[in-house]
Amino acid sequence: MYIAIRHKLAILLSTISAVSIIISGFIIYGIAKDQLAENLDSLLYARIAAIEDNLTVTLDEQLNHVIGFAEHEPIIPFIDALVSAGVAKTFLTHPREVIAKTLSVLTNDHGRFRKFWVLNAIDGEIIASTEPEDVGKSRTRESYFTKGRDAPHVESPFLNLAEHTPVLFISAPILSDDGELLAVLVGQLDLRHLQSALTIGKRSYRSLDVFLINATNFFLTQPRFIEDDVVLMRQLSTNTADLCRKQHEGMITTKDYRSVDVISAFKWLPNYEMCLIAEIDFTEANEPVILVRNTVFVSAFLGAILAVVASSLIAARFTRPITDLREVADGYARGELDRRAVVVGRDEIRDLANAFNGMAEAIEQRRKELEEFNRRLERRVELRTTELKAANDELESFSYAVSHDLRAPLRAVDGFSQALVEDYGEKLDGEARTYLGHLREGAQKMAHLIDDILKLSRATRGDLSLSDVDVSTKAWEILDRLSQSEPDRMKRFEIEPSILVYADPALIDVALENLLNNAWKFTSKSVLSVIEVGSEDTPEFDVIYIKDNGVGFDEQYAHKMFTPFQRLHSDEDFEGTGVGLSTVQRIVRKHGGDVWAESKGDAGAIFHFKLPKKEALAYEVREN
Amino acid sequence: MDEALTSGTTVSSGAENRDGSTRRFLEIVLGLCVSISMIVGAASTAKTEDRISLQLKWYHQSQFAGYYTAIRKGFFARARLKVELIEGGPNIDPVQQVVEGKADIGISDPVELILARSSGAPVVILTTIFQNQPNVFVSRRDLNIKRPSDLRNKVLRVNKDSTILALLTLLHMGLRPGEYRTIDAPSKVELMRHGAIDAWFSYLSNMPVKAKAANLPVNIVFPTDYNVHIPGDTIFTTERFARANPELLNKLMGAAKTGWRYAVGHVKEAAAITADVKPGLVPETEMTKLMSIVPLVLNRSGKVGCICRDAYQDMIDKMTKFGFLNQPIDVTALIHSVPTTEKTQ
Repeated sequence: MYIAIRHKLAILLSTISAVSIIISGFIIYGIAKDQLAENLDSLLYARIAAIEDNLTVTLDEQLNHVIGFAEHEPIIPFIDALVSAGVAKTFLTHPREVIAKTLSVLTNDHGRFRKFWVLNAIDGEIIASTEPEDVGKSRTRESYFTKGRDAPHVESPFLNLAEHTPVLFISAPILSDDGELLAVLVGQLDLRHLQSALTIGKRSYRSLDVFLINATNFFLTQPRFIEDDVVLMRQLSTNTADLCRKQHEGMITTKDYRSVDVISAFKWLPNYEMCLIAEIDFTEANEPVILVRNTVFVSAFLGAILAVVASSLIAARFTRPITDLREVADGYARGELDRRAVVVGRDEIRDLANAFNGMAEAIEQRRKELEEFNRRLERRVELRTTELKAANDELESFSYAVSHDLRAPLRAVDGFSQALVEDYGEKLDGEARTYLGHLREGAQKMAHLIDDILKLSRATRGDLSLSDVDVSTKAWEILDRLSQSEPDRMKRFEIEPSILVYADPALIDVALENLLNNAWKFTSKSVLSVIEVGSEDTPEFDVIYIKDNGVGFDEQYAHKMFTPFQRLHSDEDFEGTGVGLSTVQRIVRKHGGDVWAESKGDAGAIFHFKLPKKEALAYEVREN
Repeated sequence: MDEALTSGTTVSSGAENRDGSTRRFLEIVLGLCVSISMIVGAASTAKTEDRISLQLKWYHQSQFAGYYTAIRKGFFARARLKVELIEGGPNIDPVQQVVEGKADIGISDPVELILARSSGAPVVILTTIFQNQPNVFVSRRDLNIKRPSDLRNKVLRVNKDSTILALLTLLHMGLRPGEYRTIDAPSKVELMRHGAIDAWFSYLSNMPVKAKAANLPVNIVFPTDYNVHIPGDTIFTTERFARANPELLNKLMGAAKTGWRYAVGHVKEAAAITADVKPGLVPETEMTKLMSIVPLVLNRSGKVGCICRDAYQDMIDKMTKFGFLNQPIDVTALIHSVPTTEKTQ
C-alpha cells in the first residue's frame, strides 16, 4: 500500500501528540478527582465536627442550666422538705409552688425547656414539677432518673408513652447541704432545638442533609427530604444507621432513606447516645469531578484534534520540498528539461535538490553532446548516401548500359550465325556447322546471362509495394506450369494450404519461381520428384521452406550458393546461370528477411526463407 | 373488646332450616373436598412452606400491624412460613380457639393465659409483644381526674373481659377493690359526655382517640406513670404444639418480631398496610393508634417483645392474693422454654 511520507509523518506526529495529550488528560483527571474527593471528605468531616461542636455547646448550655438549678441553694430546703415528707403529700403545696416558680424561668418564653420534674431520689416519684398535674407520677424505671442520680446526664430521646411530643431529657442530682442525695432534677428539652443546632454555616451543597438518629435508629430531627413528620416515628434503615453504632465515625457511599446514592458521613455522639449524620447526594458531590472530567476530556479532545491538524501542517511543511522536487522530476520526465528544483533550507532535502539539479545539468550536457554528435553523424551519412547514391546510380546505369549495349552485338552474333547456317549451311561442312552451333549456343547463353543480370539488378531497385501474398497458390501455379513442361515425370507435390506472407507480390513471385525451378531441376534425375512447400511459425518471422528429394549439395559450399555466378553443379549435369539464388537472396533481404539452405547429400535439399511478419513490419513502419 | 355490644349478633329463623339442611349437606361435601385437597396440598408443599394459623385477639386494626407488615414485607415468606391471620371479635376467645385446635397460635393477655392455665388449659406463652398494657383511664376534663387517687369513689367503666386487668392496674396504683365501682358499658363518647360514668378503662388507641375526634376534652391517667408494668398482647400456643414444632415457632417468632420492628420503625407505611387489610380502615386513624402502641412494643435497646417473667410472677401473686386463682401456678410452666440443645444451635 502506498502511503505518502507526508501522511506517515502526520500520522506519527498526530498519534504521539494525541496520545500524550490524552494520557496527560487522564493523569490530570485522576489527580483532580482524588483531590476533589479529598476536599469533599474533609469538608464533610469539618461540617460534622462543626455541628458536633455546636450541638455539644447547645446541649451543654442546657445541661448547665439544669445543673445550675439542681445546685440552686434557695430551693434545696423546699426539696428537702418534700423528700422528708415521704410520699408526696398534697398539703405541701407551698414548697412545690416555690420550686415550680423558680424552675419556670427556664420553661417560659426565654427558656427552651417544656417542663421540669423533681424526682424523689428514692423511688423516682415526681415530687414537684412546673406541671402540677405530673406530681405523683413515677419515673423509677427511666434511665434519666437512674443515671441522673449519679451525675448530670443527657438522655437520648426515645419514644415515650406518656410524653407524646419528642423530647430530650436532661437530668442532674440534687444534693442536700451536707452532700446527701435528695432528688433528681429532670428537664424536658424540646427536640426542635436540636434541629436548629444542626443548621449552621453556609450551605455549601444543595443536597446537604444533616440529621440525628437515636440508638434505635429513630430520627431525632427531621431529614430534609421527607415531608411527613418522622421524628421518633420512623427508623432510618440504611447502612449508615447500622455502621454508626459499630464504627462510631466514618464516611461511606451508600443509599439513603430515599434510595438515592449519597456520600454519608456519620459520627456517634456517646455522651448523648445519638448519631450525627451528614449526607450529600452522590450526583452533586460528583459534579465537580464530572465538570473536571468533561473539561479535561473536551480539552484533551480539542488538543488532540489541534495536534492532528498541526501535525498535518508540520508534515506538509517538512515534505513540501520533497513534493516540489517530485513535481520538478515529473515535469522533467515530461520533457520540460529546463525545470530545476528550488534549493531551500539547510538539510538533506537541499542536498537532494542540489543532486537532482546536478543530475539534470549532466543529462542536459550529455544530451547536447549527443545532439551535436547526431548532427555530425547525419551530415556524414548524408554525404555518404549522396556519394553512395551517385555510385549506385552510376553502377546501375553502367550495368544497364552494359547489358543493354551487350545485347545488340550479341543479337548480331546470333542473328548472323543463324543467317550463316540458313543461307550457307549447305556450303559449309559438318565441322563448320558444329562450330556455328556452338557459336549460337554461346551467344544465347550469354543473352540468358545478361537477362538474369538485369533481373538481379532490377530485383533490388525501386520500392517495395507490400500486400498479403498467398504463397501456397503461387507455388501451385508455378509447379503446374513446370509439370506441363514435363508431363511424363513422376512427381508428388506437398503444399501446405494458405501460407500467407506480407511482401511485394512480384518479387515473391520471382523468388518462388527461382526456388521451385531449382527444386524441379534438381529432382529431374529422381525416379519420383517430391517437392514440399511448408511454413514454420516464429514470433517475428514467417518462415517458408521448400524441400525436395533431389541431388542435394555439399553443405560445406552452402555459403557460396547465394553468390552470383557461383554454381555447385556442372553445366553438363544441370544447366543454369548461377544468378537465381543470389536473386532470391537479394529479394528476401530487401524484405528484411533471410534465406539459407541445408542438405544431407543425396537426401535432397531444403531451402528456408523468412520474411518479417506483417505486425512486425507495421511496427517497424510506425517506428520510422 | 370495647365493641362487644355493638356487633357480633347472629340471626337464625326456622324458615331457613329446610333449605338449610340441603345446603349444610353440600357444605359438608364441599368442606371435605377442600380439606382433602388442603391435606394433599399441605403434604406436597410441606417441604417448602409451613402453614400456620394465628388467632388475633380482636378485629383487624393496627394493634396487629406487625403481623400484617410481616406478611406484606415477606418476612414470613422468607422464613418459609405461610401465616393465616384469623380475625377476632367479641364472641371469639383466642385461648379457646387455640386450645380447641382451631388455630395453631393466638394472641391474648397474660391475665387470660394465667387464668386458662390455672383452670387446666395447657397454654404456654411464646413471647409478649406489648411490654406494657395499652389501657389508660380516660375521663372528661371537667371531672378533674388527673391522678390515680382521683379515681377513688368514682364509677369506672370496665369491660367484663378486662375486669381482672383493671383490678390489677388499680391495685398497682394503690386503689383496692371497694374504693371504686365498676360498670360495663359500650365505649361511646356520648356516655362519657352524659356523665353517668366517671372514667373509662380503655385502650389509649380507643376512647382518647374517639373523644378527640368528638372534640371532648379529656384527662388521661397513664398507669405506666405510676409504675404499673403489666404485659399486654402476648403470643401463645398449646404445650403440645410448642413441643412438636420448636423450630417452626422459633422462625415464626423471629419473623413476627421483624414485622413489628419494621412497623414501629415505619409507622406511616405500617398504618397504610393495616388499612389495606380490611375495608373501612382509615390509614390516618390506624396511624394514630399505632403511634400509641409503638412505646409498648419497642424497648429502650430497640428490642421487640419480651418474656416478662417477673411481671408474670407478680400478676400470679396478686391474682392469687385477690382470689382469682385458687393457688399460684408455676410461672416456668407458663413460659414455653426452648430446649437447651436448640438454644445452643
